[in-house]
Amino acid sequence: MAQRTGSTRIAAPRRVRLLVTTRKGLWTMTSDATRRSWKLAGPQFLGHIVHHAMLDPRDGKTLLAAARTGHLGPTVFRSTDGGRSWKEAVKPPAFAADSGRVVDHTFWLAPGHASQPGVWWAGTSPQGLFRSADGGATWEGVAGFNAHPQRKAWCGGDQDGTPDGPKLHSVLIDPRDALHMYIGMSSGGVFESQDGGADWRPLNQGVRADFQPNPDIEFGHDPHCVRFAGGNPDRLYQQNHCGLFRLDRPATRWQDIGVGMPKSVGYVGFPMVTHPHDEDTAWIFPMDGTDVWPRISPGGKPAAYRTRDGGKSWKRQADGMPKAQAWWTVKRQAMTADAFPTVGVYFGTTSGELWGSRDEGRIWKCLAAHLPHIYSVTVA
Amino acid sequence: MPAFDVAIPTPLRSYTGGADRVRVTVTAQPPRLADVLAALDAAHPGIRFRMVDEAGRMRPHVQIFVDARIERDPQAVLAPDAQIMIVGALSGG
Repeated sequence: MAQRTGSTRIAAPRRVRLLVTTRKGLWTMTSDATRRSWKLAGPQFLGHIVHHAMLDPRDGKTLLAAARTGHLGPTVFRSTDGGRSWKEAVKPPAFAADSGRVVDHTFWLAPGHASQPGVWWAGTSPQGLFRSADGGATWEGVAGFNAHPQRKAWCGGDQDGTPDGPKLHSVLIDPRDALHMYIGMSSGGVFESQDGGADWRPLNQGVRADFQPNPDIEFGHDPHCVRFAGGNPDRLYQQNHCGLFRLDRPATRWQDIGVGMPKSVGYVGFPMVTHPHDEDTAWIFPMDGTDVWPRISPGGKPAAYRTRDGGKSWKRQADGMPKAQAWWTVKRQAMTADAFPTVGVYFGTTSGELWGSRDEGRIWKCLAAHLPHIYSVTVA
Repeated sequence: MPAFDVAIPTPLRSYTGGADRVRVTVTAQPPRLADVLAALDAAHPGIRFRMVDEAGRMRPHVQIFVDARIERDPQAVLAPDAQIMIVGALSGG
């Protein structure tokens, strides 16, 4: 059942802070509870490619950032004082020396289950799953995935996949059960584990894979972003290379929820953002997936689209955004929502603009410009 | 025990406290480039993994010159007075 803000009293946070990671470092944006006046701070890690940064919601002060530079190998930085100071992980994510595989970059960071303080998960490019039990100081490969006999069949080779390297992303931990997990892989598909990562099985029925000779294959799909529905971990939303899908467990077949999108816009994009208090509401940011896949706002007219009925219909939300000649790309980690009763939605573009709405997408405002290529935006 | 001077490029000086040149001592005989990198990591933890991947290969955009010649084999044997220079190679924008 939906937990709409009208029927459930939700306390407003006192402030909101966004971690904005870019190709050249990490910035933060903060506002008080009005969300009208924002202050930009940074950069930290100037010159580092920071793919993701996340706050640990369990203690409210530990932050992890996944970084590398053009020259140097991938690592993870940790802060235990809310981002004032940082230390490098003693042992960053790295494959077993005898595997022959090499982590190019850590792509996705996910705090572990509430019952497991200090546990973090990381997804890498090429596809690898790593776990830390000490707040991100040391990382071990999850053999149940990295050494799974089917891994190569699921994912293809390390040189296959997306232009910036194939990725393991969307590490989702069931809030009711620390052993129940999902991951998404580009390429590979969505996979589920019931035993804390010791074993995995594909979960892609109903998802198209138009780029495969057999579009109904069991694995080899290209999910771009997968999220739990707000307040309902039995519902998953997926922005895929080939459309939009929703899965209501215990079913194992995804439902196509892209049919309600205008044909002139299509159903391709990278991010998927879910409403924290309403299982039926989600946002996407469509991109042009026609012809040679420009992956920019269709027609140069950027817009978010929101559903309030679980994907049956989608409404264009572009008030405040440029009406033409705005050729934006928004990456899969670069759109997020806060937890206010009236949710704020935020996204960053690869052209370095940060946009936000304090009213669930009705009106948008540019919060910052002239930043480097934005990789991720998360609420901290 | 042989000791080697190692020139540190700017991207790695966060590990050496800002030093552009450090001296490391190795015990292995004969001394190899890998031994110098291990000694460097012992003195400045974390620096090696930024240069050498988990498969033991030099990362693509890190170059090491030994006596002014590019050396990409960590098992290369070093002359007793070899000069070692680490360089961040061109790696795009």
